Amino acid sequence: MKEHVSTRLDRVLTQKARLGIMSILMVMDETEFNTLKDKLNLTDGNLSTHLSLLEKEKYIRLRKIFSKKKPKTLCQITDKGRRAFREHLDTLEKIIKDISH
Amino acid sequence: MTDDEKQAALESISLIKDLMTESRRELQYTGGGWIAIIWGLYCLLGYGGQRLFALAKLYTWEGLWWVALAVPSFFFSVLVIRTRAKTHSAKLKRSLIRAFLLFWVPLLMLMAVLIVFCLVLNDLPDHYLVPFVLLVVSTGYLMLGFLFQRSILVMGLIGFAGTVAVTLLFIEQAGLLLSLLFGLGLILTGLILNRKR
Repeated sequence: MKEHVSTRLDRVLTQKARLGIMSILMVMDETEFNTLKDKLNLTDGNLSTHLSLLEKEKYIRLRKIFSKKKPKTLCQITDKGRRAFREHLDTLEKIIKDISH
Repeated sequence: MTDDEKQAALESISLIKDLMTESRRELQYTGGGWIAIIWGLYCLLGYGGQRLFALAKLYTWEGLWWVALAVPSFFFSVLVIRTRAKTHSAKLKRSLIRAFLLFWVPLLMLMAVLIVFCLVLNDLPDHYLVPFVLLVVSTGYLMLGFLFQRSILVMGLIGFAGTVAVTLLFIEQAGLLLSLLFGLGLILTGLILNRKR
């Protein structure tokens, strides 16, 4: 039986907030926690949960730095994360192509 | 495939597109406002200094002043990029600085060569120096703009048209008018970019 294309979607990235985080990191490579929070309109707790999940999947790396004596959390996309994002995007495009056929 | 799945895929693609476009635009303008202000001041101070050297009859310094002034302007521009991109990864910071250098170094070298040529060519009247340099620089922007980006193309068009118009209509005041046009234009662009962010 032919595999349904939507089953190839990455379950971690189907969630909109996580997809948003990965989209920003694909361009920025690394960015601050607060930048992501502002861009995606998420609360601290909500964003932390999504970041932890992405880190657990090794899609991103988190590190803490001090800037002007204030702690900052930086999020960086990993190679595994980039690959997963590209594959997810390819699958989404295939689903959309199916609409037009 | 259900309609819901198709709809979700469309929404996801649209979200990705929006966020990536917005992030790219933000990256492109990293420190762009301050850099435009620095080079706007460069135009104004450059012309002011040139006039002062002319009054002091230090004619060699008239042209060299522009080149000398480019050094701190260049240094401050790189500093702005480094400061603004502080929270970006080292890889991204390097690529932003590289893009800046690729954009400015050839133009500055061209300007320096032209200024030296103008000083060597004694037959070229003083008031043709600024229009001549700006015409070539604007042409450089036009070429870069056609290849890479519409905003650079617009800068080139405004520069080229402005230089031609001022040279044809007000050649005696061309230096002053063009320095004001380019200087204030860049400062205004910088202020608008800083307000947008």
